[in-house]
Amino acid sequence: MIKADSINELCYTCHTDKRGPFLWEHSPVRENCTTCHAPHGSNHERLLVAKLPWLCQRCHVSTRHPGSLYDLRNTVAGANPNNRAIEHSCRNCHNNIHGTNAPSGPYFGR
Amino acid sequence: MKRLHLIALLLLVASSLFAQSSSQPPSTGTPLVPPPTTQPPTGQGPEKTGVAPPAPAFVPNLFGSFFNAGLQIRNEDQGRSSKFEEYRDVPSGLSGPAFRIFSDANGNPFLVSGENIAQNDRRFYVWADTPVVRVDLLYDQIPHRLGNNAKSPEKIVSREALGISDYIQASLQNALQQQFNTSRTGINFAFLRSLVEPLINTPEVFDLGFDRKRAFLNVGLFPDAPVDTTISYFQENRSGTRSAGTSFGFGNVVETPEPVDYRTREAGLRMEMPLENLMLRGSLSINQFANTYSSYTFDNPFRVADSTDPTAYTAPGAASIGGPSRGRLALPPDNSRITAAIGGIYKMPMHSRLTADIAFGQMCSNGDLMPYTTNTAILATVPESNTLPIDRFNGRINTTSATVSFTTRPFTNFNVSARYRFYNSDNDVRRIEFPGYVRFDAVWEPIPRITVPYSWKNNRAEILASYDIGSEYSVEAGFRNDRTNRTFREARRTTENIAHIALDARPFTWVTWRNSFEFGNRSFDEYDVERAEGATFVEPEAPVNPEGLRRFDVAERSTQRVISILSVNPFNGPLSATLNFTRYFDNYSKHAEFGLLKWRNQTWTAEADFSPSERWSTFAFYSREYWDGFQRGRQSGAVPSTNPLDNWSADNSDKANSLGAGFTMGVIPDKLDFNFTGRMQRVSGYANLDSPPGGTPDVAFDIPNVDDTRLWSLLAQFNYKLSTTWNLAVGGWYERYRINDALNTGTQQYLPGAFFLAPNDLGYRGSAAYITSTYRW
Repeated sequence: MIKADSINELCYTCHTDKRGPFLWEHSPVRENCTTCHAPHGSNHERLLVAKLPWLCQRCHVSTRHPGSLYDLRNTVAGANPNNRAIEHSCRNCHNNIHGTNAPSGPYFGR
Repeated sequence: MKRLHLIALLLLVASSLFAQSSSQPPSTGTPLVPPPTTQPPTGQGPEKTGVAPPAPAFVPNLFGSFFNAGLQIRNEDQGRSSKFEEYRDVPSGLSGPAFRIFSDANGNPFLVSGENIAQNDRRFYVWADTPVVRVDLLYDQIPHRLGNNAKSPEKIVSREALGISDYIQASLQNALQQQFNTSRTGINFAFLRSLVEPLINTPEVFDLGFDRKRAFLNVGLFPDAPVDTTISYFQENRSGTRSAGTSFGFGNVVETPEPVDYRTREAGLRMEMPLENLMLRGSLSINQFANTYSSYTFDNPFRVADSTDPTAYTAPGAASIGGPSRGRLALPPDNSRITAAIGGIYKMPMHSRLTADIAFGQMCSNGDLMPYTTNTAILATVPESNTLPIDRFNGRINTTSATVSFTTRPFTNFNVSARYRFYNSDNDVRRIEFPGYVRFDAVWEPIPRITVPYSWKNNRAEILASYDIGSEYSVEAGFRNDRTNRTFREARRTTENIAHIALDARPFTWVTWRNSFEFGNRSFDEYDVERAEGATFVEPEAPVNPEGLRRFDVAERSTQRVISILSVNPFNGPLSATLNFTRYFDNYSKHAEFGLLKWRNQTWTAEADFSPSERWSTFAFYSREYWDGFQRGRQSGAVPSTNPLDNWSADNSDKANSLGAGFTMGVIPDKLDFNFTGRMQRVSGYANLDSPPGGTPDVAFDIPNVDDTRLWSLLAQFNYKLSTTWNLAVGGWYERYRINDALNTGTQQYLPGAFFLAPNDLGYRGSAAYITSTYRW
């Protein structure tokens, strides 16, 4: 019952910077913003449905760092704070997660 | 640290505070700007799907004029947290003012109003209704204060460039080189922390945030003409900064203020032509987004000279101290969207109606590409890095949306509606192949990559029937089939079937009980766990994902949705109460081994109000919300592990408890009244992490305060009617926001592998006392 042709097209009416199209697209982002965002309210920053890094790890548990466990030791006050867990978490490096036109951006890091 | 749920409540509190305090006359009873209303065609229902939505029409439902202004004293402690004024202004001194001027001279009503006109969250509204045009004009601006006193080693050279002095970069590079030559393993956090000490002791300090200013103009032409024609214009400007994760590699994140300087403009035309039993409609809209900056650069604190080596993306560390002297991040590109829609509604016998709409759209972006890298060492040694396969990217996605719906009431008490909806997002841009890419401006990776223009298509058919059993009960049943086809995804097609039943009971005039239950299943045709990852590689890469991974947006799942609402107003007396329960549950675990396996949300709400007389009334509410997501991963090295002992799981839950109460009391009838409101919300999050012993990670430690946020607010206000035209309000409010979040609270400027801006966006205690006066005429 949304007042646009799709969920994303409604979101794009305000968030035009996320509309693209981009050179490098992130497929779930292109299809449905609510895969990651809860527009009616959330406890997490940017109205995300879960906190990073676990939100990303709901899909990305591949080899090396995406599949690693981040726990209490990797928090701000933990014994081993990790830049993959705190603040922007995964987005400390993969900032352009909505898509990017950087030629070196297949991993959305530029 | 940004608990938007709480902030939403905070804003709600704030808006109610201001509605009753500085910005609006306390007893106006109606908003300055009424909520937007859509205008269904004459004699028709609200079915508008498929046609571009009408521009908002703000139809005044109030009369009279007033001017309101106030004086306010504010107090805030704990060092200027941006949260206190995240999306609002809390001024000291003059607050508001607000006004409304309404005229109905010569039968041509006219209204102009303003709120908070001396503040940064000001809002204006103009409305006029004449025989020739009907005009709505709305302007509002909202500050977005995202962090105060952010601290960066980078100086703001310009909006597109951040920089560190060459002298400092050279000093750090030389010190690193010396240590690297002497003992590589000595390049650890303690060493780096001592190196960057001068940088973090003399940071650039600034506030993060931007202003959002927007205006709507809606002009209805010739209201009495047979064709209802409306033209509209919208513009939004955003200007400022927000924090961004920018990185030189695994061990060198440098969080920076990303420049925001956006302008969005949209022009629209909408026409409706009512005929006998038929209404035709069409619309056209053109929307453009322009970003002043296509990219920005930031310096590497540890390098003054560009260099590269195969492990430079891990620098600075024992393996490498290489990398670029600066990096560049692409910003959102200019883009546009055009949409054309046409449709109609046909009224048929037996209270039946057929609605059909179709819309065509195109999203485009055109812009020059930035180079592969800023790193001159790569450009000098890797010839492929000097030339892009294309200089300019012209993106294009075509969309088609079509909806047909039919509603009928063949006999009394029986309603049926059926709807079919089609949506196609077709990215038809040709794929572009790159011979490689530069990782974090540090290393050329000679791995050919190719762009992936994702497309998807959705078909949804649904039918719903309801039957009223007398005036006491009604039952409803429905079924929905949803099919989505996707390109380049793990599943090519998913199909979801959902059944719906509902029962409404009104056994007494003072009791209403509404219940609905949905259950469904989604399946896919096949699942290739590597297809999405592999799509961007020209040469197939080795598998990287565990076989049992099912990405939840396309995974098989079962769903449940339960909603129950009981409303009572015993014997139609002064007490009314509502109890509400909702439960959403998605279960992926039947077919998935890794990824999101279960997701659950439950909410209980109770609210009551008691109004025994006109002299006083009171209300109270409580809600408890619970979210829980269970997921599983497996830690691997270079190849996917097949050892179940390498598994880990995260059961992350959040609980939110909200309660509040208030009352209004007429101290002196029609002269003096008093109202009081208090609210509290607490959100607690727990990350329950687990890993079996014997593998990697071997052990996991829970995070007990992955969320820990509290918000209290109190408001008290006296309203005194000086005369029939003058009103005085005196009041005060108090807010306390507290946050203790394991992943964000207490972040320092430099932590292992990262410089952070560490702004103050944490807790606060704030209060204000105010006096406002309103004159009406």
